[in-house]
Amino acid sequence: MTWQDFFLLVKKIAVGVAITLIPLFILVGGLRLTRQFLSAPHPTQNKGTGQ
Amino acid sequence: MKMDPAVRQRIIRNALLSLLLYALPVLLMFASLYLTNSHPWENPAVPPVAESHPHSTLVHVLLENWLVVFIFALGLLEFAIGMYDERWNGNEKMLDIASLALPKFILAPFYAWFSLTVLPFLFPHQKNELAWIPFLWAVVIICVADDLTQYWYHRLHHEIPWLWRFHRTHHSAPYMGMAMANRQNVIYTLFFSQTYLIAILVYFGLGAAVVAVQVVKSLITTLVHSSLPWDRFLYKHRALHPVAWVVERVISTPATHHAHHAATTNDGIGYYKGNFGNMFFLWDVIFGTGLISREYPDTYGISHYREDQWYTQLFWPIFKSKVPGSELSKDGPIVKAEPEDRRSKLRA
Repeated sequence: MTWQDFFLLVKKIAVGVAITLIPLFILVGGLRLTRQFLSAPHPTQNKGTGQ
Repeated sequence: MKMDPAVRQRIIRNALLSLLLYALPVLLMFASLYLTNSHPWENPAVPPVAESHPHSTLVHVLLENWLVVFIFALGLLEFAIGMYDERWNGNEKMLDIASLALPKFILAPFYAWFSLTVLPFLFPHQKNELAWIPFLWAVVIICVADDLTQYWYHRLHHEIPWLWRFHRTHHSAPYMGMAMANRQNVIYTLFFSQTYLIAILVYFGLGAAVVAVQVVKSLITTLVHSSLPWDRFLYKHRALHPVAWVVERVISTPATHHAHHAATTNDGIGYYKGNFGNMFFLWDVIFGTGLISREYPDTYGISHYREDQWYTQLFWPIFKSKVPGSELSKDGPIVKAEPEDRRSKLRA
């Protein structure tokens, strides 16, 4: 195994990490936002409880 | 060897579209929960706890390893009806058997270590954070997360020239069947992107959905490599053609995946430049990388393949091939040009 092979492996791992992290951020970020948005008090509920 | 600019452009365009495809199930679930005013996190499902079997029986062992049992049974059937001939020689046998065994004995413990040690260290407060997601939505999310990620991992190993040699081992088999279904270079398998993505999502609480999806996915992806073409009956009977039309556009079939393993792509049947889908063929339909012919290629593998030693195919680039001019040899080409296909010339 040469240095060239080593750099090839590093490049390959970098591509793999990108393919893993991009969907992870979209999915986990989206699911967290879903919960956050839907947990916020509904505008009609505010009207009912506020003065 | 440089990448074709047209291929590069198509990759960028399709990758941008993929961002939307990943987000789509989450957006649909959001709309569904909003419209029904549901808050499933208020009553999260408790992740099931595996029952322990103090007296492990043969039945339990078989059930827990059902896929290996299924592959062996199907392989024996293929062997019994003479689907392996002299092409499955000693070198190919060693490569196929080592490719099947190695992930079970070395890679599986590594993945377990990653899931049980690395993930709790990286995400100390996120365990079961997403366990509130309704099961059916979790299944949809996992289907997209797992299979679209594998589509990209696979496609890039075909379309980026310097990645090809990590995937070449899977395509060097001059035959189809259970023997070669797991045939891969160890480094290609070790860095499967979808394995790590799914391990993280299991840790986050989507384990039950992963089990359900993996059962179906394993069946589909195992059967597409089989030399027993289960889909042939769909093309034979005219009444079934509408069903075939839907099936071959949604999931991978032996016809579309055999085309991906063809030795030539010039005969209108073989298409190793596309048909990258694993469980779903839908990605190929969406991105325009698919070819559906409903026929099976005459020859499989790589036309210039000269049987590189099994251990070099398994462990390249740690070991180099001794076959002169091979892509896996010390000073071999990154991608060897395919010789002009004589049969396609004759057909044309």
